[in-house]
Amino acid sequence: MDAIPTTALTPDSGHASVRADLLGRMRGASGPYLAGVAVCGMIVAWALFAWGYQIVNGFGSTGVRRPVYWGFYIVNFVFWIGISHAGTLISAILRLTGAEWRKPVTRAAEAITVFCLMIGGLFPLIHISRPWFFYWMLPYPNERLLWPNFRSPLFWDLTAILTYLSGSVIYLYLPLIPDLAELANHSKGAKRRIYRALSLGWTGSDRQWQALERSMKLMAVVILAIAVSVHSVVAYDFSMSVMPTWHNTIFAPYFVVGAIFSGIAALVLVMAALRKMMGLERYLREVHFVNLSKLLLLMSLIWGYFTFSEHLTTWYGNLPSEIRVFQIREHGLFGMLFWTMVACNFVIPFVLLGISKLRSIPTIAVSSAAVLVGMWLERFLIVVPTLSTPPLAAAWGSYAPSWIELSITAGTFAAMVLLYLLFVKAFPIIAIWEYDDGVRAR
Amino acid sequence: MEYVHAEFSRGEDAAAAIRDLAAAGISKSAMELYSLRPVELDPAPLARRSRMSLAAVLSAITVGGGATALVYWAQRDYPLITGGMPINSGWATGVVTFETTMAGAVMGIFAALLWESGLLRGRKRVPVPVLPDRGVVLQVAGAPDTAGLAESLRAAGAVAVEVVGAED
Repeated sequence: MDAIPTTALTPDSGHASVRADLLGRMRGASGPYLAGVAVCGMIVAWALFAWGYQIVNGFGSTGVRRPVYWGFYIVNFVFWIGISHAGTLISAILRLTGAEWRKPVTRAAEAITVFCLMIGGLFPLIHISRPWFFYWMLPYPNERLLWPNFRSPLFWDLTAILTYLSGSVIYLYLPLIPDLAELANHSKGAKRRIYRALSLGWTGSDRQWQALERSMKLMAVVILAIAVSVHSVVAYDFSMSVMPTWHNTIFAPYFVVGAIFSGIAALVLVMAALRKMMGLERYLREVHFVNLSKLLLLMSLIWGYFTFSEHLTTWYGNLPSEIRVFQIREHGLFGMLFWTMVACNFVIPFVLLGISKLRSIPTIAVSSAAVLVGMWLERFLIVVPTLSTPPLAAAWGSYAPSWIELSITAGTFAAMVLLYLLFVKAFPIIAIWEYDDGVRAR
Repeated sequence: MEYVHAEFSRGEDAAAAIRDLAAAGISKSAMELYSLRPVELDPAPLARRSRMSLAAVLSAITVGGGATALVYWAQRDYPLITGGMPINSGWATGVVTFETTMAGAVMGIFAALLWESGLLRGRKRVPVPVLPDRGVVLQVAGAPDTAGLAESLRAAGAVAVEVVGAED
């Protein structure tokens, strides 16, 4: 990775300067900010209405029909859980390897993880259609002597996502504690009391710093293992079935690679938006985007390799059930989507990020946006073509989302933006103590 | 009890002062450093023994083992139709064991953090110094000769020294 230039900050920089600058950006709300909150809030409200409509009128009001039992909801579930890997990769790996350049980036990444898991975890609830029966998934003694099916990948999902969500919340919270104490010291009234309570009585003693740093290192190790397992488990939802093109051994690593790939892309987009909207050019500099773009390019190449391997094996095997899915995915109904996916995930990043003269913050952001589109399409192309062509030709069907799925999908993207907008006004988006530490370390 | 607070502009000076005080017979448990950023000196002047890793491992084994036992007994007592596959198999429920083990590790780390850092613990209220933007504050608790101690801390490079009483 490129080294951070030693003239990172202006000469008057220091803890007080960084703190005043970052805390100052949390105060007040501009017109565009409020407009963003209002628009996102309205989209989320509409999505909630759509969900309510689905609950009242039943799952038949969606576009999910036999034989395509998994539609947009599962596509979105896999997509959002995938993006959640941004936090673990950027924060945990870079923390463990001691990469100094991560410091302005980690909190934005960790927040993405938590929000994406909250959003992604909603989709199974939406998909089961009767969310009030969610507790049937939980293993508790009951009068019916029923237990969940522990050997079902859907139950594995539950344990994996709950573990990942709780771990990620703690992993986001730990480095926030010193900043919460700073916030309490520089706030008044109710805000001060809330921040004080959240900081758990942090005083900045050496005992606390030692315990915090030790816990963050341990958490980084644990959260990495959890992150890899979570998307592997999501892949097992597919590969444990005997459906054509799903039942293969490459799915778990393929999903993990795709998750990290889309997670980096999401992080770059969030960073670009924060930089522009909050004026964080001083902290989120081109070197951060360039370093992340190299990771993005690497993941693009790995993704391309995995995709090629998977499709070559299917094509060469020429099993009737598999080749049928292969053909409709690449040449038929879904062909346009497939080649768009390849362009978004491989061609565009390869050109824009691989040629150093073209590499700039705008082109890196464009590549990242393309990757997010491509990865969503990849999830769609994994789920729908296979389900629409079951072994019996008489059972073939198609899938088109209804306004409910489209509304809920739009609502989750709006919810992500809304959560982020609220977060940046409640907490410093760059870890004050870590950033300052980074300046001093040089 | 009285506390002496000495502000140092450099962590190295504070570390040297700690070594001098320890050599003069003041226990390291009576000393504490305060700063707005972690004091990264090698060796750490007030290095403390940690059992966080042990807590994480024990918690992981407890939670993961408990969950595995629950799965085992539930499957044994209320068996599902498995199509000829074994009722209990590590392959079928290994993921549950792994995830709950990791969940246990997370809980153990967080609990150990709260314990070792002293956060949320109902200890007597120790006066917390106002922290400078740069530098560190060394706190010495219950020294018999606070005036002499203050003088020696100044001689060790402290830029400011104050004597305060406990808040309780």
